[in-house]
Amino acid sequence: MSDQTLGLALTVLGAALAAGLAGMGSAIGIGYPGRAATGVLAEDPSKFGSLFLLVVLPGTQGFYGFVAAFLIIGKIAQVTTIMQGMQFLFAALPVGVVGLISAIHQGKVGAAGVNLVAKRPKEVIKGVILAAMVETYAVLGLLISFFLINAVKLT
Amino acid sequence: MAVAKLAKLLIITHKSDEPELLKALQKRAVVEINPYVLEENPSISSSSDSDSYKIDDRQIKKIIEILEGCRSRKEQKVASKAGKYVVKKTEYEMIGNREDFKDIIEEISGYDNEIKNNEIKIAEINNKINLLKKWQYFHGNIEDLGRFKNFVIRLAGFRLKSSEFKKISGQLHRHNIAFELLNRSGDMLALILAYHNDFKPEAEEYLNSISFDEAELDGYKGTVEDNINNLIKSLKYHNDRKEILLKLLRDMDSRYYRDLIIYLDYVENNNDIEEALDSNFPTENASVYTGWVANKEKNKVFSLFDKFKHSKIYEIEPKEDEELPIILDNKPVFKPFELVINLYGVPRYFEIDPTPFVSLFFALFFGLCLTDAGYGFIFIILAAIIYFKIKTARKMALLIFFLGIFTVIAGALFNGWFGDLPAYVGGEKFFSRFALFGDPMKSESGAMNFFRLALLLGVIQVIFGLFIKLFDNIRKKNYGIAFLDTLPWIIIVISLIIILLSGDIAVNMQIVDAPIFPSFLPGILIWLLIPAALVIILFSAREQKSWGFRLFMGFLNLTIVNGITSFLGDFLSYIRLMALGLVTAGIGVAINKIAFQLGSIPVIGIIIVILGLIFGHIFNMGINILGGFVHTLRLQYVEFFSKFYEGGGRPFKEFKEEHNYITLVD
Repeated sequence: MSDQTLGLALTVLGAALAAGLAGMGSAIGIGYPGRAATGVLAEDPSKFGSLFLLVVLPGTQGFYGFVAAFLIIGKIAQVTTIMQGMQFLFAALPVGVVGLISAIHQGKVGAAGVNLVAKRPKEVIKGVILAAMVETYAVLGLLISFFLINAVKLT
Repeated sequence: MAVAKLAKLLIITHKSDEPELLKALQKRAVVEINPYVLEENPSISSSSDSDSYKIDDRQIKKIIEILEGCRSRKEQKVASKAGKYVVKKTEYEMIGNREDFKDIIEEISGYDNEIKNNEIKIAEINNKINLLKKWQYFHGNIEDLGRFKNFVIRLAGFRLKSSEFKKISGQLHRHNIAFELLNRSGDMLALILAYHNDFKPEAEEYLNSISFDEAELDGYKGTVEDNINNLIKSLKYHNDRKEILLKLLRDMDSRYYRDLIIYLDYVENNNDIEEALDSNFPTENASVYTGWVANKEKNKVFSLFDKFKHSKIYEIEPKEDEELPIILDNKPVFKPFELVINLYGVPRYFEIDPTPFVSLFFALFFGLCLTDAGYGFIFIILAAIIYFKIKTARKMALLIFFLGIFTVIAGALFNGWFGDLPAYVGGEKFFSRFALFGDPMKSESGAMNFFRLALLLGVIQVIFGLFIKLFDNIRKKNYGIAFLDTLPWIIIVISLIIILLSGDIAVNMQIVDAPIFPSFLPGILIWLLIPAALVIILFSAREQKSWGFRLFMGFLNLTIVNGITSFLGDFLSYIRLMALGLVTAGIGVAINKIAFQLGSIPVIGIIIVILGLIFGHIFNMGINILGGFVHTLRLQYVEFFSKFYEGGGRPFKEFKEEHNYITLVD
């Protein structure tokens, strides 16, 4: 296997991990408030609007991963060495791993927010903001991945 | 910039005037009404003996639900599209005073109960029919089945393949059980089994060892078919009855639905008046209330009392520690941003209202989170449509308009036009002329510029917050907080930033390209920095009694507790603006690329491109508006408000009419 093909494979792995891990996190994260919200809707379908906000919030990590993967894919043609591939792989890890874990925890906060809305529908924004506190670190992860991806020297 | 100044009112009214007066006040909607409480003897509860039958709003809501439930799907669709009823004032009053609603409600809930009973019956009958149908091939009388003096006859259903059936039939013979196959459909067999009581023990032992479904027909007489026919007859009866009742209910729906909605609205508004009536300070013939009104609106209320001969109103002084309700009172430009404050909690009466400070930052930060001029223009168009179409949502329209403007500016500066759409459809050169800060998706300098801008805005907002705290506390004459807790921090933060920017560290960190300030400045600033730091160490924990602990806490306050590290954390937090801006751009670019790649399909390609672009960008806008809004709010609440604002006031609740279900016109 030539250096280039191995480098390419590693780059592809990096893009796959960025989108895959963060996407998994979002899927799990949406699961928590999604289930809780469905229960609340059984009692009061009119709360759908405010509950929807809380449910979709952990979905952003998946998009952060998607954006990072997309940036890597944009550079895939220029990869010629194993080291470049490794660098892309590692650059993908912050957004992937942080996205995975933060989305799950954000989902848990979101599920608690759903309980809040069930009792006090007007306080929904406070629940959303508390859930967004968790997201801060996913944003930072994306940012570092972005800078790392840009920092990889391509020939 | 302010919390509106209020006047406290004392209202005394004769009972004969009271309901009319309250109604008039409700119409004006400028007063907050509270019961007057004597402090010496806690209020003697007035047992309001309301002997007349009252319909409460929950009852009406339930009835309305019943009526809505009986509609066909098509009607429901039509109803969901129709807006609120428009009602004339005269009609509103007329319906509100009608007395026949009690009968209507009883009639409707009577129908509803009967329908429910019928439905239960129908379900029961259906169950019975299903049970009997399994045995419909048994044409004998049901009484002939059972355990008799000499023999037993049973009906049994088996699920067997034909090869298994042969085995079982052999076994049945061996155990002296006579049987006859009644019917076979697929794997399902219905058998009639009979055995003499002499063989009962061994026969039943065998039957217990195999699994089958035994007919439970206790309580039936005659043939199965007769029974089914009878049940179908009574099923038809109940179904017909249900249809008739539904028809009656639909008739009630078409006749009374609108009236009920209007009546519900009326009852809900009257609830407020009745609550006020119930909770007032009771005397035999007069009632006493206290109230709050904005100074601006005072005359409106006083003039109202000219009409009521038996009522009086006075302006009184609020008690010293009394908590005043809060009306935010800002210039029209800032008014839409009161939303931000209301979500967090309004200020206390003597605190400042941060609305004007928040407004610019909020719009700017939101714009940066979106960073797409195309989306910004959509915002502006949307705002215009809302402004002219929906008169009640003008504040909202204004907010969207401001956010749109800043989104356009941010997008133009960073070359965001529906992602990178100009690269596909042309005009790239024209649009990139606006991109003074570069394109963060394409060039590293663009990304770095965005990064620097986010940090810079963070520094500006945090220091701005500190200055507000300084002047606010000077105004309130809290000189301790102003000069011992706030001013030193302003000096420390600004000095540290200047020192950072005048050395090589900042250049190495790529925050600036070359030192901004001359290199002799740090030498001077250090003499400002040291005294300021000393003030923090010496005085920030001045409520502590022991000096040792006080100095220790002071040192912690300087460094890790609300100290330099927390300021650093605050500044870094603003980088999220850049990250969110990049997400919008990134997804936008991805959408364009995917859409135009699909465009290579012949003939329908162009349609796919257009649809992909429209839906893709709507989706991108949606998730980024959510993210942008939430993170912008967070920056205000966590990073900015923590510097000077507490909130915790009680919002003013005007006594007013609220029409949730109808639109009232003159």
